[in-house]
Amino acid sequence: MSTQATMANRPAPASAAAATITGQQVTKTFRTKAGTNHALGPTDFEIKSGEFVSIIGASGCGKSTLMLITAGLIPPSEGTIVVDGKRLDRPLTDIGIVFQDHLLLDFRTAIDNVLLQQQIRGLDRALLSERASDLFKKLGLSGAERRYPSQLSGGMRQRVSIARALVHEPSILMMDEPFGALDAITRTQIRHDLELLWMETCKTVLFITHSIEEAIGLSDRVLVMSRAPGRIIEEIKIDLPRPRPVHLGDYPEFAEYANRIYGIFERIGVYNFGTKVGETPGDSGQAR
Amino acid sequence: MKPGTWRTGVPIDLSLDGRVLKLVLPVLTLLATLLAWELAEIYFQIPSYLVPRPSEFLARFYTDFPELWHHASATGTVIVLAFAIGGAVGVALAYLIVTFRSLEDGAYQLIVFLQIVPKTITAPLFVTWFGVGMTPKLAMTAFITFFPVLVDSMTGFRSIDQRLYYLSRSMGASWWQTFIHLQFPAALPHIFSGLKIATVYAVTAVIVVEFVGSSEGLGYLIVQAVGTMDMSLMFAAILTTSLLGLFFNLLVTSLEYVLMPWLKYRT
Repeated sequence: MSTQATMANRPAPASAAAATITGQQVTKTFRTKAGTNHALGPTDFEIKSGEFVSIIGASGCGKSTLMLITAGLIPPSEGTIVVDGKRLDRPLTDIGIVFQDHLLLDFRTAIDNVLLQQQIRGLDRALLSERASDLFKKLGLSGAERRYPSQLSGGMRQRVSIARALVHEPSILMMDEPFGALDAITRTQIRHDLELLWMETCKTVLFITHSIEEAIGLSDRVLVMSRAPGRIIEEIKIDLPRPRPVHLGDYPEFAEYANRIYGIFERIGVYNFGTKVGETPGDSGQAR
Repeated sequence: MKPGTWRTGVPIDLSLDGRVLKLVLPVLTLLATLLAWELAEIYFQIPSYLVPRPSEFLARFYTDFPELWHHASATGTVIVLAFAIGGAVGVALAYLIVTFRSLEDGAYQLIVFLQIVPKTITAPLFVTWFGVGMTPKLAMTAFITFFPVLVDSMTGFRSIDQRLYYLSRSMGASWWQTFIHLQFPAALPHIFSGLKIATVYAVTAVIVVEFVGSSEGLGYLIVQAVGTMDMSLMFAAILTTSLLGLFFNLLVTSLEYVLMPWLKYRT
């Protein structure tokens, strides 16, 4: 078992540019009938080019909102997002997004759902078809091309939606609890597949999760968010070799990282164990 | 009792599966009803100028086929065109209402009110405005088709997950691309359920306008038959009208099947 945690295992950044994203004093308040709801921030963060960054936090802490703001899909109430030196004032298009629900179009076959990117962006059909079938192979979807989403299992649907987010080779990938609706076995497999895909392409990734295991298993850096209004309160560098094993317990470091996150969660009141934090880390589950 | 099992418990093999029986049984019921009707008229000596015998009015389908066909196609043409116009306007307006909040607040209440008004009673109005001919029929039928399509299309457009718009915006989609690739196909099953309801209303609408004032069509034929007390022709015309309605319903259903193959796999 190798515990030579090193960043040297990281592939060299691909020629395709991966973007750097910074957020400055990002704040979001929603006006509702009940009054104003301060959902997020002010918070600062940075995602370097080609870096895999997870944001972890309890339900309702504003992490999904932070992702939508970072993608330019909703404007921040205050603060700015800067992508490659430019202030973001419209939706990012050099991006692939995966949500917790697959959000596939039920009237398109799996492959046509992926090729929606090609149609809307007006990209070369032959090239994108080739890339799509390649992604289908890598994601274990061969044979599912002509099936409709309703004919696929939950895990396969989410794989198709990952393929849709990657087929146009964006420089940024954003995922909002992409494995949240899947069973534990499928989740572990997709996590592994995603890591391998990322190692090939080296995109800038923003990964939103409430699973400590996923965050440590995938990220270069984990940003821990406070309870609502969410702010990034801690940054943890994950210095483990890649590809990381399916069973993360093989790394003694994993337990250390996990314990640090559990510790932070307990400190900010996400968890209330009443005893010392346990030695067996797992999914944060329904942290409220 | 298990299906295909007689009282004795001995299973009988009819060599017909359920599907064939589903077709055969209604036909048998219909034939039996017609036969009973015919026999009842003979037995009770009902005058056929009041209630024609099935043998009489069914014969008119043979003897008067060209005339029935002519009027049926006149009525049918109106329905096809009215579906196209009313359907297109219904979908377009539904899109605008769902897209623009202010339109929804302003127009929706009015549309709900208009939907409650029995619209067939406005037939004389259309004849007064547009005279006798194709135009009043078309206007009235399109007007009637429009409402169910509008209401169901709105449901269809509203049923779309808002996060899909996040996705389309992140792809840099124009409003037209979003409409044609996302909103329209997603709303299509709802649009079709509106169209199916419209088939029922549409046939009634054309016939009523033809009652009020027209020179051709099945409604015109029915009025003519009343004028000459030709009861068997009238029954034949009524039956043709029903068949026309059935035809359009089948047409919409098969179009739905062809245009939306994915619905087969829905659970």
